[in-house]
Amino acid sequence: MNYETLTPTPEQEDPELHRLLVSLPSYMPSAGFEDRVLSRVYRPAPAWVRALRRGPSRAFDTRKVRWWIGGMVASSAVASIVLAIVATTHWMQLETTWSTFSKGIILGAWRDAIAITSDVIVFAARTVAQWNLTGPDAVAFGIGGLMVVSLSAWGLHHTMRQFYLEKVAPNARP
Amino acid sequence: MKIPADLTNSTDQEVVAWAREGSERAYRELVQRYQRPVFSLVYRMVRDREKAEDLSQETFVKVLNALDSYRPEYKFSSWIFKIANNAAIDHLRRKELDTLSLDGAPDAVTAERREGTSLQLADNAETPLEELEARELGGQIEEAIATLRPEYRACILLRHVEGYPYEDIAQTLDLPLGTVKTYIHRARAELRDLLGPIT
Repeated sequence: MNYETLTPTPEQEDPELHRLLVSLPSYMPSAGFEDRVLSRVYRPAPAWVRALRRGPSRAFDTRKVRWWIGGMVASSAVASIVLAIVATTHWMQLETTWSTFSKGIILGAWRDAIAITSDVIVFAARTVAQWNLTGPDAVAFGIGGLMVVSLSAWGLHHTMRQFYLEKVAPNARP
Repeated sequence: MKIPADLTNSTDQEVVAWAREGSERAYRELVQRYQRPVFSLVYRMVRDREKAEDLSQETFVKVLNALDSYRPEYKFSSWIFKIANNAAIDHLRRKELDTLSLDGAPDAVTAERREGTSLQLADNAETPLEELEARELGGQIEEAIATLRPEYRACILLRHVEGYPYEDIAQTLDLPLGTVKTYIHRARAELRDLLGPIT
């Protein structure tokens, strides 16, 4: 015997009252409810990020990731062999090219970077030296500096922290 | 598992699993599925649109932030209705405490504190918002439901409006099965008395 047929439906239990109650309208919250809820919900990071957080050994412990790593290792090995063959057969030509490249471009860029950094540091030091802060100005400057550092640290902490998770008793019975 | 383009045909358990994976679409789907029944239940319990919206929002935030503690072998709807019902009952209890203090709060030791916490008899005239709410929930049936005890109200709404079996209501409201049957029986009797001419 089917158990369902033995259990009366709400309609069978009290048809008239049921007819009245099911005719009641259902209400909707105001527009934007969904967005308001979601703005307060902490959504978990994507699966691969959470896997990385759990630990690198477990993160790579999937069939797909193993195939990817295997493919990368194999292609890197092939590329290295090809490079080694090219390097040994064209050694003189490569040496000349590298010498021109390193002297003309890399060395020049490095010198420019050093010069720009030195100029910025010297300019900043001279500017600060010209301020000649004394007494209350120096105190105000110090407090202002501390506030900037504190507010930056607080802002960073506030931005990076996770949404506070409220504990909810699970619906499940043991 | 790949998330389908249309989630409307997926089960609650599937949608929850995708939400746990971080899918925003899955979160939205859960809100869309339950915002109407949850809000309707809470609104009928507290009879204040603004408060009902706050409590519904709290319910969804609690549920969605605790999806990891949800056990898929149980109904998601039971879980969300349970939290919504608890929120509404807590609000009604707090409201009752606030309004029944005729002589001020029990801890009021000074005259100012007693005066500040004593019962202020409300003006009978309704504000425009209250009038609107009264009109919206103004049908005789709604009025009759509003006179029921909150526990009866939740039981009868879940049984007749949401079509829940007794076992699910018992699980949702954390009540013994016999108590649920008694509550529904009494609620029906009270409603029949109140709605006599209609039924």
